[in-house]
Amino acid sequence: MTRAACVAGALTMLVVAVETAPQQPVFRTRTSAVRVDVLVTERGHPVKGLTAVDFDVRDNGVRQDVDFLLLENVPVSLAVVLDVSGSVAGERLDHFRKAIDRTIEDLTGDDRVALVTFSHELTMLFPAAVDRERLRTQLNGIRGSGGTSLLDAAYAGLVMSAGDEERGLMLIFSDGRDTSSWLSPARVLETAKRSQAVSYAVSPAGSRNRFLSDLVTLTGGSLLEVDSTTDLGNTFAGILDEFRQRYLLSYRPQGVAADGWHRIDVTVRRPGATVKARAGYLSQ
Amino acid sequence: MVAGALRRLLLAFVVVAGVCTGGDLSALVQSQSIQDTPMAKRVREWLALVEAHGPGQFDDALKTVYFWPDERLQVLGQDLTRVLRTRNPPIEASLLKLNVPEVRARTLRRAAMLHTDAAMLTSFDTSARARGTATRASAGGGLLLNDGLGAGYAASPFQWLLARLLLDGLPAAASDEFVDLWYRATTAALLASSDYASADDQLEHAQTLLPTRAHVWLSAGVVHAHFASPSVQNAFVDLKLPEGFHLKVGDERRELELADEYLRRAIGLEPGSAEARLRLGRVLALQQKHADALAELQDAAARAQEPIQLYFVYLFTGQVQAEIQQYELARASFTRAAALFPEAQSPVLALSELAWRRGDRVEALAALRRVPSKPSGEGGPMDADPWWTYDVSYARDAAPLIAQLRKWFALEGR
Repeated sequence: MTRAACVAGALTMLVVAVETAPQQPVFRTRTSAVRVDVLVTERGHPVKGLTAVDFDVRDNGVRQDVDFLLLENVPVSLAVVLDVSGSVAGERLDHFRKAIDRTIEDLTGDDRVALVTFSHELTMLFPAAVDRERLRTQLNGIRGSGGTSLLDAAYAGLVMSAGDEERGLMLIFSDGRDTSSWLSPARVLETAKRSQAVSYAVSPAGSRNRFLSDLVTLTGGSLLEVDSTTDLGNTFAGILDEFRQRYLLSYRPQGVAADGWHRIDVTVRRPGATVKARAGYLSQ
Repeated sequence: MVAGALRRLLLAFVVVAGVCTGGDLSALVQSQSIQDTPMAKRVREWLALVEAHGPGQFDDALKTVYFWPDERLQVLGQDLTRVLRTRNPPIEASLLKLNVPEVRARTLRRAAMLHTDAAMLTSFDTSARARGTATRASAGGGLLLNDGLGAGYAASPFQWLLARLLLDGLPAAASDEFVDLWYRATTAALLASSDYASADDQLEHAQTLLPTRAHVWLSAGVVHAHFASPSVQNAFVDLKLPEGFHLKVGDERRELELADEYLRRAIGLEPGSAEARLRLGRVLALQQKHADALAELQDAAARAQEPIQLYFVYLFTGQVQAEIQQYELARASFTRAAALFPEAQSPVLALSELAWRRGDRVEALAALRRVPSKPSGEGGPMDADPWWTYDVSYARDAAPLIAQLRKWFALEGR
């Protein structure tokens, strides 16, 4: 029996959900500016109240003049990426639905949300204002089966969470390893290097997914391991809460070559504090 | 029947990579005398089942052989090894007329078909792999992969080994047209069901027996290219094999080298094979040999007979062109692939990624919006995008080949 035969009889409709992005509040960075989302923690808790002078940012080792962006003015562009390659009927689908409901509770009117579900095939709900029913309808139609196109889905999530107006955040849940993507890990990681979005991944304990680990390290996010999907909603909400407590720094690169890979080093003048930020960026 | 069907269902999405237990039928042969009657009785009983079985039929003979325990099959293997392989065959061979060339050839082909049908019914023996004795006596086995993760071990059906043993006993096996068809058809069937472990066993034997047949090397190239793929390599990241098992799959680089070698041998024997050239082109691209890859893919494009072959050629060509920064050419190649299979996601994702790589975020997102998918989130059929079944698609002629194999016996006297 071929794998193709096993999934025969699926829907034949071929409509892509296309939506027009609503106008966003104006928030512009200088076109040549580099933005860096920075998480500062002390004993595991986010540190609040820092200002631009507390940070030391180096681009390829060269110290940069840092602007400080007010977080309350910056909407979030969230892409949620869910692995439905196994069986998602019943309980797990309910967990996904609750996770989405819980996550969007913390989004505001200016935030945008996109949803990517994937098995071998990607199904995408493109970035738009928060619409609970729209997201629910998407999730209700899921029938898990087939292969795992984790890399293709991560690529789509990165592209959808990118934007000049918003802070990009990708939440990705996967319990498998890639079996059917067209894109390679190298290509998706390079996409991440050209994106300002931060990626957080959630996977079952002990799954040791190297790609997800590389992705979150590169983008300054975290890989969280969970025992089950039961509490995925609170896990996502916790990530969103942490993300909102990150500092958004911006600088215009000075004294460094225009093209190629730029390593970013961020430190904070506060003893005992831990800093997490993306590893760098790839400039055209 | 139900158990077999269940197994097949459970394993529907399973990929098996080769794990060898070091079993060898010849090692089972004991040194004791075989002039005693129990062996003749056993072989005679087996011959009656061979004669009663209709190729491809789920008849009583097949059910009987299918449900024989491993131990019974092992004894049969020992019996047949003695009857067929001994320089001076025992008295049983003449009693059963297996020393008469015409009778022997007909009997062995029909017997091979009986065990082939049983093997195909069995698929993987998922119940036997946990038993030490069974794994030692089995015809090899594999790691079951599910969703890219190891999901246990399975022994390859012993029936395959018996079928090969029987065909080896034919008077001129290497030039026998049935043997050639048998290897071609059964390997395709194994690959179509993603049983790469059994296919690997089959092909190792075929490489010795039929070294001048292009399909043997082409299939071997396909198997090793699959072993190099992320879906197999990722599963071995933290794999701990049970005692007595050793891994036959090498690292990505080694498997690509083997695939390269075997595919070149296939092309050497059959230069007009578009399938071999496109698969070699893919392997060369993965080895970063861009110029060689483009040459093979160009050759494949000129020889391709099927849309699916052209689809792969355009997809792989676009990937190589993007790697060497020929972006416009890459875009044209991906666009051609998308036109051939409008429901396929991969070429549209490739176009999006190409735009992103060039710094065009707007076009990257616009291309993503053109990715065909279901609005409800329901997974579509795997054949909507041939890339999803690239490895399996090599065996797209498995069903007609198996039908051809079974029909072989319909001719008079066979």
